[in-house]
Amino acid sequence: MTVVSSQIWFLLPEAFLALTVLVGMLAAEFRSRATPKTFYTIAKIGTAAAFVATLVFHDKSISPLYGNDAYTTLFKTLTYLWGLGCFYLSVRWFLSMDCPSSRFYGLSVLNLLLLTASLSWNNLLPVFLCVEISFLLNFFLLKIENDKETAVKEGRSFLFSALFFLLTGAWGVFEIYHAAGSLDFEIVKNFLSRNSENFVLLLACAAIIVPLLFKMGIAPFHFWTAGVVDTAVLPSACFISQVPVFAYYALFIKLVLNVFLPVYGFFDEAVLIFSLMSVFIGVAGANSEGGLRRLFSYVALFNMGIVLVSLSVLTEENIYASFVYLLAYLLAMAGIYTVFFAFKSKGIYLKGLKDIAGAAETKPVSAAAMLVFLISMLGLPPMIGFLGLLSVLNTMAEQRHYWLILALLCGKLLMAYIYFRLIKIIYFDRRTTQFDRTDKGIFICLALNIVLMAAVMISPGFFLSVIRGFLS
Amino acid sequence: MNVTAPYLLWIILMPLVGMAFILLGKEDERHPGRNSWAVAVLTVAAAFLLVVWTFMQIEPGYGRLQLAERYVWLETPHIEFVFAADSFSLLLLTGICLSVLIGLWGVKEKPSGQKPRMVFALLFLSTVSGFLVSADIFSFFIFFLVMLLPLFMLAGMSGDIKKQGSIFRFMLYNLFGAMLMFAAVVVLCSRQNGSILLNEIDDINLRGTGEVGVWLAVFVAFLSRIPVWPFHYWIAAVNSGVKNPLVFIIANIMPLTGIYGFIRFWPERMPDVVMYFMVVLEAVILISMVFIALIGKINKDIYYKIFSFISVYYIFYLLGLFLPTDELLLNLGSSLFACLLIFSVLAVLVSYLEEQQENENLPAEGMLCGMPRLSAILGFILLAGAGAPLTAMFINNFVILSALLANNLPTALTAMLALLLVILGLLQEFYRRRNGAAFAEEKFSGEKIRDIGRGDLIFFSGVVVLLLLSFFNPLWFLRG
Repeated sequence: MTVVSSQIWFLLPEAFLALTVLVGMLAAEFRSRATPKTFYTIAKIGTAAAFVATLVFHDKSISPLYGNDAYTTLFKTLTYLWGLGCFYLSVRWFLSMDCPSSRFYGLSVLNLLLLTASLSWNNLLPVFLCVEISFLLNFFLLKIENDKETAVKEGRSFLFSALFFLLTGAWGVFEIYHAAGSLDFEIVKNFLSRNSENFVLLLACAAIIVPLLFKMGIAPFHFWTAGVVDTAVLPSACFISQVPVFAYYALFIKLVLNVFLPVYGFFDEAVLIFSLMSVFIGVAGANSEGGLRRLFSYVALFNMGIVLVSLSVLTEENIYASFVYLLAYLLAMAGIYTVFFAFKSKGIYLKGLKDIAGAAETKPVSAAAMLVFLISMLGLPPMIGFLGLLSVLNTMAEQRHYWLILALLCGKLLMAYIYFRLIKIIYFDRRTTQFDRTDKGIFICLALNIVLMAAVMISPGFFLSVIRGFLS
Repeated sequence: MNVTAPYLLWIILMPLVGMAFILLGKEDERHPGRNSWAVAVLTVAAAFLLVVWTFMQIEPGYGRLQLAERYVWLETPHIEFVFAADSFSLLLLTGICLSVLIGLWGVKEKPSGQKPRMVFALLFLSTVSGFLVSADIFSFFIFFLVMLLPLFMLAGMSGDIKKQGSIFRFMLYNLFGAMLMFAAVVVLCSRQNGSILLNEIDDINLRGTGEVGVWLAVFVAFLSRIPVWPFHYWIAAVNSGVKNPLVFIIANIMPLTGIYGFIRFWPERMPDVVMYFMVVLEAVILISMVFIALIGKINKDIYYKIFSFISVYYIFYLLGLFLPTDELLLNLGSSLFACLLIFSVLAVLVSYLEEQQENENLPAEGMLCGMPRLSAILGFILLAGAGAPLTAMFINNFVILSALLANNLPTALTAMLALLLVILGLLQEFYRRRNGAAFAEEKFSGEKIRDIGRGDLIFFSGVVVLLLLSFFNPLWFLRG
């Protein structure tokens, strides 16, 4: 009994987040003078407390079913950090637009709770439930301050596709339970290794993996991303496009290594095809888009494609390389979304490519930051994106996958055209918009991001050895 | 290799320090751009002096890389930046520093957009310096790639190119080459689990299709920097389209990096597969040389004529480079040094002329008659460019041409024809500006035309003296 009660403390991060949601709801209900800052403060304190508690109990498990280790701690802390960054930026949007923020912060913290919890579970059922519920919450995030017809339409199609993949996943989980008699990772893995040729089981495994790829926005299941990110308000778009990515990525690796490894040989070629499709659809999509957020949703598809190309062979080196790439990409993406918060005209946040023409003239700092992040995304030295690209390509070269190297570099070259087009719009075109003054907090975020990127690039050894330590 | 003070690292960092000063500094509201310009000039001058000082620390000669500096960047794979230099690389670096300085002089009275222009010009100088002193393939590639960015920004922001699309094509074409080189470098590094010194490339054992692929990638990467047929238009559109003298100079320094790449990266013991490329390359560059020279002769745009002048010379040096001897390399270096200075002064003076013509709405014919100072400097520069015995180009080009004649008569004759065409094109253009009908009819008075100032005269006279000194001994400042 004493052992159990002492182990309860290990659930403190989850408890903090649950409490945060509760306090937020109570504040929304009973506090008459609740401002956007109120909910931001609650979410910030709750998430920061969960972050600290996660670090404190980084290797503690309450049972074999629910545990923490270096791997889960790494991804949980990253999810919290990105969430905190997103909250910090979002409060500026809510203050500027004079909108209530309770729903956004409540849903986001609940999302964080479910995503991080899904990483700790070692049973397919709770993992499935946590991931599916957290994904469905995006539907409500999409509806925040958004009752336009397009938003309703987009929300409806998002909900239908999410429900379809939920049912697919549910069937997969049920089928595996039916066959293996349990959903514990260990038991299912052993069962699959004995029955790796069973077609229905393979289908059931695919029914669990594919919804995860759908949530990661990998082609050909990417159809929801551009519409959702474009329709949602900026804070929701910022959250949906970045924060869950760490959890889905970590979960994909965890599930494949701990559950589906015996049958992954049947899927790796499909994963490779999907990832290459993502790379090239990402390029084509970004090239045809005229909206900033839609364009970057395709950029995300492109980059997630590269991450997945690296994961098509699941060795320690590949996981490490793909993670370095993912981190570099998400740092740049976080920077780009921070710049989106700076591009505002007459109180309206700009979304079109043409709206930001000539921004360098009056917004030199934001434009310069954008330039840095774009170069990083392109994978040019001396930015951190180069380190990510180098890690991925070096691993491929060691495995003699030369045609993949050429394919990825070809993709990068095509993507370069889009980044150059953006740089041209920001730097070379004539200004057509009167930009509003930028909040100092945004500059702080940009500076922090760039300093972090520069520090890593000057001495990447320490950073990479820490990552290797967590992932190995 | 004796380890001394990290001169080479300072050479790379010096422009970055200047860049930081410009970025952090505030502009004088009454004279916008002046502070940035002054900082940039001081920085480039300091970098130049540092290069000369470094020159004095090494033993003259080609191939023996000295003053080696190593900086470990990554442990696994083991990647370290190795910098080292010889007379050839430092000679080019000296020439480039002076060219940029001349370019800066040409934009001293162009306050619009001066700050970003200075920032990216210094960034370019830093990356080119890094490229020229790189002694391992990884840092060589990094600088080869990074230098594209400042050029893109400069061409886009200050280049005044009417068709922006040409900048994109130019960038993508160059980036295509750089990406191929990236692939080659990654493959080479993966074989050694780390970076490789440039003079150790021969030791890597590449077999079969891997060998063909790697060398083809390297080959195309360097070629993508040089305006060779049939892709020369993409480079020409930018290199001749930019009207700002500093950007024009920087854009036309880029092909030099391709030539330098061939010099440094090319293995001493060439694999058989490379020999197949050599035949193709020689044919392609000869076609390009004549093609560019002919267009330069026909084209009325003076900037295109200067572009064809420098491009044909670059290709001529490339032909000299492919001769089966390393003894010509210092001749190439000396000639390139003088050629860079000549082309830079030419670019700045032409820009001044064109600006006068445009601002005052004057006819080009006979314009030089109203500008005796500019006319004198330009006369010297044109004669020097034509290969008159005034600069290092005279004797060194003579040596290179002799070697070409001895080795391959048709190639040498084609090169001579191309050189003759570009020089004729330039002389013809300036003859037109010196002896035009408008001047004879006295349609415009001398008052309208503003000759270069006394400061300009002193500056350009200094460059002329430097060129004259190069005639006697281009490396006069070396010990021994």
